[in-house]
Amino acid sequence: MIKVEKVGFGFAEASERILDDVSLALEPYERICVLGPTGSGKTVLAELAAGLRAPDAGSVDRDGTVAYLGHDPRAGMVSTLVFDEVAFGLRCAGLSGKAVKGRATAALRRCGINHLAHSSTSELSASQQQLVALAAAIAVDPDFLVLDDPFALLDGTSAKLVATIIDDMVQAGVGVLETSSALERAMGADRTVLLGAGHRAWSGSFDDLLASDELLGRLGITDAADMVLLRAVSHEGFRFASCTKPDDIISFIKDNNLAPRIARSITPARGDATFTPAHKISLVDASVVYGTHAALGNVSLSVGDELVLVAGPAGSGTSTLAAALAGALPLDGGEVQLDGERIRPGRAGYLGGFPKDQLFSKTVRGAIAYGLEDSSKRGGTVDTDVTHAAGALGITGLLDRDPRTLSSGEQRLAVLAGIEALRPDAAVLDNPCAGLDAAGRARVHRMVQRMRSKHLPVIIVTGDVEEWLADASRMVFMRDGALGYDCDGGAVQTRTQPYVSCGVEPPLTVSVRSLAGMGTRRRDARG
Amino acid sequence: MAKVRIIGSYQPERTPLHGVDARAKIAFLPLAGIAVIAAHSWIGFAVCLAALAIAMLLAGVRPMQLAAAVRPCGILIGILAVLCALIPPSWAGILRGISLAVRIIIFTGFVLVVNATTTPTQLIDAYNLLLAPLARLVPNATGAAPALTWLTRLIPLVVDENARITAAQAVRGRQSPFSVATALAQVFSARGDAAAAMARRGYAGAAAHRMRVADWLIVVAGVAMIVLSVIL
Repeated sequence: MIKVEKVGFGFAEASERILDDVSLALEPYERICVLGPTGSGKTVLAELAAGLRAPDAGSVDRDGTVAYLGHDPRAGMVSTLVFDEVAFGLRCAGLSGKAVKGRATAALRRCGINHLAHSSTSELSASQQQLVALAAAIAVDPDFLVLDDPFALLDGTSAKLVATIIDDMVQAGVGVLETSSALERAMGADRTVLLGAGHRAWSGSFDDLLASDELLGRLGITDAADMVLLRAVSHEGFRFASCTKPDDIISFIKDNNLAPRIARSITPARGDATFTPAHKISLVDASVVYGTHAALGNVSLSVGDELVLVAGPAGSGTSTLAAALAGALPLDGGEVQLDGERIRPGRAGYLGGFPKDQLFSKTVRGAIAYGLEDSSKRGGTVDTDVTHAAGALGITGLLDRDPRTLSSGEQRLAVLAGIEALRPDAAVLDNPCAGLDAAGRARVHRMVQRMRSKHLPVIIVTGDVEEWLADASRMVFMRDGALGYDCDGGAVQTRTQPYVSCGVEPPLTVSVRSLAGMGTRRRDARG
Repeated sequence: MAKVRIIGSYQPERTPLHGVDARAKIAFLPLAGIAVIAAHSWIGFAVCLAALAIAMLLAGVRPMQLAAAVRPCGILIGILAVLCALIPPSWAGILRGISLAVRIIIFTGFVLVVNATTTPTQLIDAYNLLLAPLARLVPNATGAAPALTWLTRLIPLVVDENARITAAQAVRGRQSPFSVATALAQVFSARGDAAAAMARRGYAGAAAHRMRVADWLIVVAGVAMIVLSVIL
């Protein structure tokens, strides 16, 4: 058992405690999902449970070995070679060379990344790095697994694999404590705990959480399509139990012929309309090669007055495409154009997969202001623009903080505030809502809407397709460094075929609509 | 044209130098440093350059990677060379400046070869084993292993961090000529992170094992470099 007894914790530089009088007990064979808004103390609770921090008050007792997986896979990495990284914990445990090799290989195979064993960890995508970290955690065969929002950076297909691995571990007797910013992760949990302002606000079953407007309101979730769907199936008699999966919901809907009725509650949105573009950003025959591996192979993509989603399985090149489009990555062939000319630095706002890499100033204020004074479009002062941008993204209170002390969600918001202040001619965002609570996600959506109201091109790489589906004009799929399907925004809300053919797990709402036979309203998908 | 591989990372290849014991490679570095400093003639420099060329060939490190590693420090190297040349102004001073730049580049090349062929965990294991005998005299001598590992990896870490910072600055439309200083500060502030991560995962030192004959040859090569640099 992991027994957390009345723990309290506060950072030295903060005036309020981030956790106060929180207790919970984790047994073998169970998964507890901890939900809560940003700043509620989820990460600190996970770190206390895993023994990475000591509480200021109370106690944490652990009866067994604990493996930990954080939301940033790079934070716990000790080696630059994938196999070495997975084998490290086994070597520390004193296993023989043969046993180390056997268990490390088995863990890599279980996570679907055995083919990456001899790759450099720094050259992997964020999803692949998270899978390496998971392989390292499961290789040591722990009694307990503590996960801090591990799905934040995962693409849909990797997320499904990781969820299956976690469920298998629970059924094999491992106790799992998982924090999450996504409601659906509580779906198959044995217990759900809600944190609010550092306190344990509620604990119960997912069914009870789903039925309570008040509790969902505390999470800021009121009308999200996935929540509406889950409530609809619950209303039809589906009961959420331990290790419930999205496939179980699909099977329930199919077996009971509920598809048309359920689908009516999640009708597709109109999506994003297009007008005359203010600007047009294009990749022209672009290629990026690492050693002998082509991360992007002669890719051409044009985006005008549109919001284009980009999705693909782990390692497909989605993040590389985003970095190349924004000019953050030099090309080995082809070029990036804005309005028909080679793009000049600073004209496309960019959020990378790891926002920490873009925060190099001493304060958040400095990071947002960087480059602004050179902008010829500036009407007001830099200070005014910084304050306004910080307010829009809800991080005014963080302006004088060192960016390295922020949570990953706060770092993401800081980079986005920088983009807001820069007033670029286009935006390329890599998983902009990863790790954010509902309030943070709403602010990011409003920021994107402001850009779209000016008819600016916006490209969003996302592992959580559901988050942006209602806003998308278009969606492109990637596989093995090349573009696959390029689909109308309406088609990808009702058809699973473009997802499946490119190895991307379709969102639950799309699967249900597809079951109900909902057709497209506009142009068909083109491959 | 393939992109120059990110500097600062172990290159997952299978080369002769990848198989050499990390202790031999660590021992070689100060020997190479002494040889580079001791070189006092163009023949001596040629010996060091030839040794570097052989090392790079055996490690699969390309000249472009060495250029990428040296470029961020290019301004500093240039300033040092100019100062040597001008204080006092003379042809001998100019030669002194050039030789200083060449020495720095050669030593950086050897550091790059070691980092390209040795994982961080192999480095820290090696330092632990090398420092273990000292533990009888100095309590917790092996506690210096993480710091020494960090120092060994300093050049490639700074080059890698500098590449990240310059890319981030480029996207904001303004590049700072002092990004290397920022990169050094970032790397310095994160110097304990890897060691802390290893400790969290239960690292408690490396198991002792003997070096092979081939490993000792690397050490002998380092000594030979010093001898040749001094006498030639």
